[in-house]
Amino acid sequence: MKKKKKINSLAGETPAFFESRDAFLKGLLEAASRLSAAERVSFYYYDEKNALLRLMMRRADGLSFEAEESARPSPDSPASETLASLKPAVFSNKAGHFLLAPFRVGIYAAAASGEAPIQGLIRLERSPKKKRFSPAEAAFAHEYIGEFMRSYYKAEFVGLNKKYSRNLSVITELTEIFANSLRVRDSFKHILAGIQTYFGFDRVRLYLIDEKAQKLKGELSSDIRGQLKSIAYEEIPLEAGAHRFADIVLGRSSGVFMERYKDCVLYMPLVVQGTTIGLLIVDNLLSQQKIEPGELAMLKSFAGQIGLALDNVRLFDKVEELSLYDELTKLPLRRYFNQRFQEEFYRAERFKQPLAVIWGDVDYFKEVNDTYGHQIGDKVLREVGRVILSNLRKIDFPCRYGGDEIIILLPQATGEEAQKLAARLALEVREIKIPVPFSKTRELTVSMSLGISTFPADASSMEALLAKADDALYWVKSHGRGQIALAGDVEKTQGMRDEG
Amino acid sequence: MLIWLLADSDTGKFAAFKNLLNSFSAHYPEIKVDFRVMTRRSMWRNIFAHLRDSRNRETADIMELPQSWTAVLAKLGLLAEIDRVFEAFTPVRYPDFLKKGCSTEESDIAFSAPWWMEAPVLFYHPEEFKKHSLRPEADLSDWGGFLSVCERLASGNKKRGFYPVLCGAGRLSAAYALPCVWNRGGDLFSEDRNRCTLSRDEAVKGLEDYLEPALRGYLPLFGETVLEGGPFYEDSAAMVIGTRLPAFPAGRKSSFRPVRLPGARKKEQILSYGLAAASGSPRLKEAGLFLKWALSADSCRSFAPAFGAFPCLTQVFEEILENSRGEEVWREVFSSPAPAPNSAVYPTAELLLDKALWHASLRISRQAYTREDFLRELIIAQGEIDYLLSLY
Repeated sequence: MKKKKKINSLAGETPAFFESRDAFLKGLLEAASRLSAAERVSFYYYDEKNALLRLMMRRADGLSFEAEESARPSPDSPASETLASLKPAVFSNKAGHFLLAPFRVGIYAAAASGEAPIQGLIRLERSPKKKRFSPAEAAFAHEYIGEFMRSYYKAEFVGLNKKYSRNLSVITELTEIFANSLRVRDSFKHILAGIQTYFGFDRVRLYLIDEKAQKLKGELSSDIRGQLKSIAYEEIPLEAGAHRFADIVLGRSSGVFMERYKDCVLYMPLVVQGTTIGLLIVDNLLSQQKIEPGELAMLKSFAGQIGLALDNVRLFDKVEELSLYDELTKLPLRRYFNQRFQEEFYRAERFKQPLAVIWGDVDYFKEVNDTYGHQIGDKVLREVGRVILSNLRKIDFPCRYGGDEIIILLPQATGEEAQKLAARLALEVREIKIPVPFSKTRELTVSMSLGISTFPADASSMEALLAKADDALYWVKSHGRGQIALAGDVEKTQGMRDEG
Repeated sequence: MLIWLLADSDTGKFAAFKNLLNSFSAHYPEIKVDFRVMTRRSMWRNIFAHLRDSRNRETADIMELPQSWTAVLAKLGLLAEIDRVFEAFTPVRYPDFLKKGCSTEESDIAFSAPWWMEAPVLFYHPEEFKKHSLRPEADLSDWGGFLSVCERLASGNKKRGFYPVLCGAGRLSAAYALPCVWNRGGDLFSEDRNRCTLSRDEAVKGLEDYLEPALRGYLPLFGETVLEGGPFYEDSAAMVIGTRLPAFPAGRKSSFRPVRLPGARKKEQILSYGLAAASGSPRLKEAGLFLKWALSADSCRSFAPAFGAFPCLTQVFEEILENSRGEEVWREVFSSPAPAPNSAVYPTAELLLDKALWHASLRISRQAYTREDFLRELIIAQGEIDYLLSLY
């Protein structure tokens, strides 16, 4: 009765104070060593599948430590007997005196998923010079350890509850992130960051299908520290057997590698309304940490939401593209130009770099429309757009300003450089031949008038820069069209005429 | 301040560390130091758990690491530059072969400081050898000879529980397998380190050599006597593959002697360990003081030799070598050193090879081992390592 009380009072202090499994084991070994005057105490769990007793922690010389040790007890050994009977055993040999106390605990979640209960033994040792373990000591230790393990069960249960409530909050927060992705341009980043914040994989990678090119294209990757990197350089042909990612997206067999990978890699095809739009891959390959089944299930349940969010983002981009670009010429529209012009002008001012503007229009465009009809007029504009887009540098920015008027921003370009480009454009536009079957000439050729102004040479403000380019264009149009004029030259000519 | 220490098969290491800590605390009583001993696997897991969730998962202020982990942990931003923590750190005081283990592959900035090292050799029992007229140097010069020695020892000793050879590490491991791979002219990586060569013929044959003693029943894989206070080296084995002199019961001197591992012996596996400070530690100043203390000549002189290992500091290493049993053998071993590669992928590659060896051990112990299974496992491991090499 006295012993029972002692056991209860000691065990009663256990569960709440151990914040981790590690702390629990330490506490157990410390207490067992203190109560039994054992010099070494070792905690082994039984790996039933491989019939191995695997050491989890040992206490010796007043210190608890982990150690690697796996032992297979021989069938007639005290360890085998104690595991089978679940009764304690004592024995002695030249190495010292030993007490083996077995335990077997059924964890709620493990039982629910059909897993075997946690089983193992605790080995207590005394050196040969010390006293043997008595049967009474063995019974006491067994009971005490049993009580401790039951407390462990309670602590594990509390831990599981905490885990489930955390999972719930993860679901809520991630759902919000995915929903918000509808409105933000850099949604890919948000989605990957959201996954990393809650799951923390070694890497998360996102690939999207480019239907036109029949390719799986890399978009973004995030590492364990949440650092994002573009993987746009990765392009995988969507052909069976070309790459295992392609096979997964095409729904083909993934082979033996996938079997091996399944513990630390998860491939999630992103499917929207029955169509695969991409592939999300999470992996723990570097760390070789197993992805927990709970995490797998949660991510799989998110796959649909992620796919939907990504598809919405792509649709959003398409709508935005439609509102910013002219469908006919493929050139940006005035609204987009105004925004870029402000940015480029600010940059030119701040870094004291030149900025040139070319303002042009198609000569006699109204007459083309009136004579040949709007269909031919549209063809002219489409061809002019093509010529412009194929002659610009990456940093240049063209725009269909309205009707047949085109403006081109040339960052870091002087008047002379702008003039060279304008000359090339004028030449190539003249080479455009639009077939007009019902006309005598059978084809139509066009020309463009172009006016150029530059910052800071011609103007010091955005409005003045545009006005000067417009003035130069007006000068060309009033002097025979089909030519190029620099604002500075026009001013000089006008000045000389005024003086004359 | 928290220190993470790697687990060891010898509890002597922890006693030596406690002594080191006691002397440090006597000089710096205001610094409270705690330490935790973890297996390599557990420390690796804890490091990544911290990376995933640094708010809720603690990390140490100082870590003891295999030097081959330095590059990957530094690249993951976990380690502080040693110079910033411990100004007096001078790489010239260490042997050249240890220097690569201090930094990443791309730079010379040191992130860990060498602390102690060991090398796998074969320890033999002179009396057993004499009894069977065996000559350690001549009969153990190559792997075939070693297997013949095992056979003679096994047939000459029918005592229950006796094995010709034991594995000091307690299990088959990548670190011990690599010398066998080298013997056959193979390696884990190609020379340019861009490809894994684990499934090449030479590497496979080397690994099969390593498994052979277990397959023939000369080497136990999951020691039964461990649960009864063993292994009892004295009467249960004639040889031990390990890095430390096999321990004998208290008060008795070990009679084992070292000899180099059988094989070509062109290069010898060196397992070196370093100390590193965590970049996110709020106690870097205290960490610096501890590093200075632990890496001083006096501390090195007493720490590693206390558990049969060697200090890294060149001057102290020479002193210890001179007084060690089997000095000549150790000198030969350390004259052709091959430390584990310190690359971003090596620790994972080592884990994967360890996994393949573990599965092989389980199959051998169940008498279900087949060459095809082992080969398949190596091919898959190679695929995984190659993939990682393309990424990191």
